Amino acid sequence: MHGEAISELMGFVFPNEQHVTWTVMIVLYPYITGLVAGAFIVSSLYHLFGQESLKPVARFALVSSFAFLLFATMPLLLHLGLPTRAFNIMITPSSSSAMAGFGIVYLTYMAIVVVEVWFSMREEIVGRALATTGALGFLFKALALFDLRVDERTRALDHKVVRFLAGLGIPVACFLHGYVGFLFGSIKANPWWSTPMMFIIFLLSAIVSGIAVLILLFYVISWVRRVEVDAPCVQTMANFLWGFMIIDVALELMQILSIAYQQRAEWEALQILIEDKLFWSHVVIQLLIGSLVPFLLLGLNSLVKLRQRTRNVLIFSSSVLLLIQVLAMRWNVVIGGQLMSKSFRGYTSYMPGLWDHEGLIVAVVVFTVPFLLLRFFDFMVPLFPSDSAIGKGRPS
Amino acid sequence: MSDDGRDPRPEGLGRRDFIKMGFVGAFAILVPFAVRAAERAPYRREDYTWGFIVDLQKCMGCGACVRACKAENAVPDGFNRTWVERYTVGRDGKVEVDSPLGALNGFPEDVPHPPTEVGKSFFVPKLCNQCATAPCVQVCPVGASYAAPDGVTLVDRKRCIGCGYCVQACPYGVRYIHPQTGYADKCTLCYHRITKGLPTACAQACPVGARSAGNLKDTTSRIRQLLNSSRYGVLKPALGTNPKCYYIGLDKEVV
Amino acid sequence: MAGDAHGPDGGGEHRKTGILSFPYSRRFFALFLVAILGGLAVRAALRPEGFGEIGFFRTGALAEEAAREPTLQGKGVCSECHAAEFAAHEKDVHVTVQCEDCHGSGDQHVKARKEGLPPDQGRMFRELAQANCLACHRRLQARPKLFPTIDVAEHFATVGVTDPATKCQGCHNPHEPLFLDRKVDQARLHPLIHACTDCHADSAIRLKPLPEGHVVTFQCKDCHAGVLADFKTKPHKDLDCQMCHVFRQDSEFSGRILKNGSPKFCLMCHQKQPFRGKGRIPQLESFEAHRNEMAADESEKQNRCVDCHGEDKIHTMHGPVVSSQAAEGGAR
Repeated sequence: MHGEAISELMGFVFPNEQHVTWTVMIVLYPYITGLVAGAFIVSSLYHLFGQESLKPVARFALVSSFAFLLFATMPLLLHLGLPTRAFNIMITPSSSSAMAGFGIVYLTYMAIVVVEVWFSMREEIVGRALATTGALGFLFKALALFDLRVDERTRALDHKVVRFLAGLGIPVACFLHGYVGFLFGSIKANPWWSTPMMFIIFLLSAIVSGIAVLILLFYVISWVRRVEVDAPCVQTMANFLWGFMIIDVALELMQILSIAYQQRAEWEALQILIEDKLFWSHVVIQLLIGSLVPFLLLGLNSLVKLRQRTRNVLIFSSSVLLLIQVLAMRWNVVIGGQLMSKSFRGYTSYMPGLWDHEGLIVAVVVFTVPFLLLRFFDFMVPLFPSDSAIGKGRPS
Repeated sequence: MSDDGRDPRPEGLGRRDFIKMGFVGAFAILVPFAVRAAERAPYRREDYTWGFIVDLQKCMGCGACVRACKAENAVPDGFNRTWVERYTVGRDGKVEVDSPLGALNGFPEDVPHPPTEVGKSFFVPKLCNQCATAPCVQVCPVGASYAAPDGVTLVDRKRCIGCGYCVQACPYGVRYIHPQTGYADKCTLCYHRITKGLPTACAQACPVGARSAGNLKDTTSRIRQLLNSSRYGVLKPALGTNPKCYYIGLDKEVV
Repeated sequence: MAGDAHGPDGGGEHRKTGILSFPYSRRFFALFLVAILGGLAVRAALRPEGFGEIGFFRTGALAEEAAREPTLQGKGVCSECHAAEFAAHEKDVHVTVQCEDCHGSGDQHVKARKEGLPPDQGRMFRELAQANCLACHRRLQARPKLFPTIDVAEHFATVGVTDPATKCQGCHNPHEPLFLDRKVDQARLHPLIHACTDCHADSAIRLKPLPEGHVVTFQCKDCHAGVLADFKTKPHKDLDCQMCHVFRQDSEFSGRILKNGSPKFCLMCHQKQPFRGKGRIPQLESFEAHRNEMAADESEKQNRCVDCHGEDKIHTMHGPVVSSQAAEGGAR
């Protein structure tokens, strides 16, 4: 129907449930907004909570958040049955619908990030405006709103605005990603989704994925530029990563333990879902490889004195595994919940197609483009303090 | 008039008779209009709260309702606005449920269990439960899934964005995203028929009278009479959806 | 950070830096405000007409949904042209089956007729295959016990059909499957559940517990033992009572016995057919031919098979209906 594989049915499934409605695009959407929220938290850890060791990565984190945010709606638009009507959600949002919150939250968060990015990058933009001529120069001057003044007082204002927004943005970022968790958690029709903990589980795994992707990018960019990775910065991030992942995995396990202990009517069907249908994606990939291994590696890194090279290996591989873990968690929640029939007597299957508009190729493209955009941003205006033109003898 | 009281005109109508005839004639002419007006009385939403009743003791699984619904509402292939399930409960208590193509072609084969193994077996037609507090209405982000004032849950095809939230929120699996047009679709209780005084397509087609829609506000309606005289159940009552589709003879195994 | 800063133009003065202090910040927030207000204006303009009047939806949608034209016509519409089929249909057991259940939706057909199109357009027909009848009448364990179902092989064996590919309408007319001589809803009522006093004269017997072995679900033999005994001595003895006395449930407690005496009914089995092998069932060319052959003169000619053959071939048509045991008043 969507080009995906024909469903394999086991047991009895309601006729309309053979086809999975929320596809890999809906797996990607919370994944991307998770990166948005997580990267923003890292940025705020520096701007608001004074984690000085995170200074090298703070601006990059903020702009990453922005880049991912710009593309967060792509998977949704690709999924909608009628994407040309997408704005209906902002024109007549229903106050009883969790999904309607998306319109307001997305715009609010976009506004906050745009303002914060602009004020935090302003000095760099002015620097580039003064250093370039012609069309590009005009572009930068326009971006600077034709006011190229930079001094202590402007810096003071810029910092004030950034700090304020770094604080304001945290709850909004939590809302942006958390509402997805709440959306799933409040669907009483689906016992795999319905839990009050879903909101906080999604949020915490978002933070985990955000920190992990920043670590990953930090390593990659340092490697590409052939510079030593900033050790205190990456160590701080790794410590936070370990802490957040502990809480996240603990909550995920708690949720499963709770339903396994209560053994309500639907437990029999859920048990088969976990032990059979989701064995590889949940038990093996998400829990064993994705959670247990990084827990041990990062624990080692945080608690034991090691050489930097070893630390790099531990941190880098843990970040990769955790990124996979969070993706697997999204898959297991979104797809897993739809594999089990509401008849509690059967299961369907799902494998995305390759070329259709909700297929694997499109998913890969949608996920890759924000990184390319980030590269483009870095090309336009330096995102790392080490590349900054500021304080390097250029007129301000 | 002449003195002796007889009408002087030897033949024809008297004035009184003529006037009498005139009144009668006028009424006679007006009666068919009155009758036609009563038949054509416009549908008043305020007088109705629609519900549906399914008698599981009667359903014999022919699938005529599924075919009729498909013809009436252009239901796309691979999806069902209504379907019929067959429950086979073995003597050991094991339950098997099946619904080949949603019973679009009925049930072409009996279950592969001999009568000595089968304890009881029955058919259950399924359709939108027209919940009074429908979760699909609650979750729709754009106000496309709505509850009409006369108790029918409908979808505004011009507003729906096809997000699929309502499909996920429905505990009964009666909704789907239309594969060609992209909007959410489901049983509308044949709103376009019931508001014209016609039965729903499935109720009309049923040869044994197992299905019918009715007005819950009317205490003399068949649905009210059946609800007042029989033991019935609804599906998944614990979820608080308050479904208005009532099943007479509902078995514990039906979900 | 915030608060006092001595700028070049401040000259010792306290100057709090607010968001309106500099051209760039003023311009930025002005643009921001314009964007928000513009967005709100666009949003208001795009709000659909009639939204939110009765509930959180577009009011027009309700009327649009109600205005759709029905597709299925209903048998009333069919009867306007197909009166003969309709008359037969309304009399017999398929009265509750819609024309469109078998023939498909009639909307195109009616439309074509109204527009005076050639007969080929909007033609409706029905594939007259076994499978279509069996969709309802196939024996399935899940079907209610009182609904008439058959196992094809068993049914063919009973009625002497030897060709397994025989279509149902070789014997049955889909519009009047049983050739009833009395309208189906006027047939004789028959109880489904019996009261104690149906058999027992003493009404106080209700208060006594049922003795062991007392019948609870009544079958024909429990009340009609006399007739059954006689039936078993006659040629039709291997048939089930309900072969001819079709029971049709009316309500939870009662039904109707569709007794049938019409010759067309008997000829469903007794008519000579190419698909019926020479077996134990005597076969006739036709009712008329047989009657002419058997009757000596006009005065002897009867209109129904049972008028001549009731007593000797089927079962006694007279005598007590209820069993002798019950007729004694249940002396317990």
